[in-house]
Amino acid sequence: TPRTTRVRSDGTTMADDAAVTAEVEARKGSVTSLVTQKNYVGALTAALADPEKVLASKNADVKSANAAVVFQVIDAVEDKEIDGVLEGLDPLVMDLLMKYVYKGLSTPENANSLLKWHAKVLERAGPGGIVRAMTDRKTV
Amino acid sequence: MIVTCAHDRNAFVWTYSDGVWNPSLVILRIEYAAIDCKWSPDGRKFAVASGAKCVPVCHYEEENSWWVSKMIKKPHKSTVLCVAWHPNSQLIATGSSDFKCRLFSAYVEATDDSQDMGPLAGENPASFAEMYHDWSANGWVHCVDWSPSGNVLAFGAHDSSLHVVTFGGGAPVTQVVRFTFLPLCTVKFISDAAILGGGHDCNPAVFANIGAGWAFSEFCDKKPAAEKKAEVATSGAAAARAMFQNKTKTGQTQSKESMNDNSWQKHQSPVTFMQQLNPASSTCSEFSTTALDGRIAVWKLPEMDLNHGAMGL
Repeated sequence: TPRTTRVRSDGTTMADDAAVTAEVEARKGSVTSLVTQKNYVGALTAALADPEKVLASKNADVKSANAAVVFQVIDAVEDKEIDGVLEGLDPLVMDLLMKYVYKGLSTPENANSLLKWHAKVLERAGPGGIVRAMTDRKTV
Repeated sequence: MIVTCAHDRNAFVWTYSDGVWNPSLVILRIEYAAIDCKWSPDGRKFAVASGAKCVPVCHYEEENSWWVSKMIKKPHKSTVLCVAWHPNSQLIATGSSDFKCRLFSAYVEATDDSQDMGPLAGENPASFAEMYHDWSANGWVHCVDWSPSGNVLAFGAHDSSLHVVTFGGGAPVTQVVRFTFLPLCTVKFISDAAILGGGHDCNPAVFANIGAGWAFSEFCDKKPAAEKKAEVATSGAAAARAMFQNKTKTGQTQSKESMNDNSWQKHQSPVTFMQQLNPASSTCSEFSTTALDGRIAVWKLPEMDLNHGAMGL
């Protein structure tokens, strides 16, 4: 079998990794342009859209790269605009955002703004959202 | 008769005669704890959820005057946490810590007359211990229950979700309700359109099917209207005095009103079990809840401040 389709011991292939890396790159491109246009709702929606490949991937670099795209939006939004950005966000997307907030809080950078996001997402998703962020085996 | 089971891997069936309850040991043949046990609706069998990744289903054998167990084993991958019998006493739903809820055939030729497929009318009849369907959740499946009509199955998982499966000819349709509060430990249908969930929020929650699908409706226990608010001192000596007064009264430094005070709730600890109290009928008018705080509370639905119409009551 060609090297790219040989299945590794964890069930992934090089081709899978290449596909998801390409997807993350494309997402980074569209999110960066949306952030420069100050369309934060669009940027957040684009950053959190189609998460299945990243969630299923076992490659830590890919997950970090995708998380960086999400944090790019989180950093750009000012504290007083967070409510507006979260308004009308789909509940499933809200749960995914909570996972990213916890991932971001695992390192000391940006703790201040992430804690504000945590409080705002908690108002909407409730402790149930935190439970789902903690219990889901598919991690970000 | 009462059936009891324990972490000592045994189950007893108790019969009452002359003012005394007499236990009779049931050999379950499990090497790990028994977690939950339920009588079948017709009272002729009982099922035990166990840590041995299996469910012994026991029926009485007249010739030897003892309860015999048959195992439902495959494909549980971990502890079975809960079992629920379908109203026809021939189907069992199990919830497990391997994140799945499964539906098995529990048709025992020795005790049951003819095989009744219940809500699975279009499917091929399976023999005892064969699995019909399974459903996945993102957490341990703590609780499972059938609707009074037997056409709907609900199970609660530890990811703060309630899964409701409707059988109606064709493939079963699942709806997942992801709610904003803490996970459920116990779930009970009170009518075909309403489910009660008790869990780590210490307050039974009502989920209703209001046409557009199942959704969380309201909590049963409502905070009583606030009495006259006491003045809260905020500065200087008065605040310091208030802090020490509160420490002696409630053990906390802030006043009752400013904290998340849940002493108004009937239960102060997670609700672990709910049971219908009114005689068997397709709707529940009275139910009891037990919780880890050692209290048993009895709730009378018609007298409670709830949206009864939406609940089909």
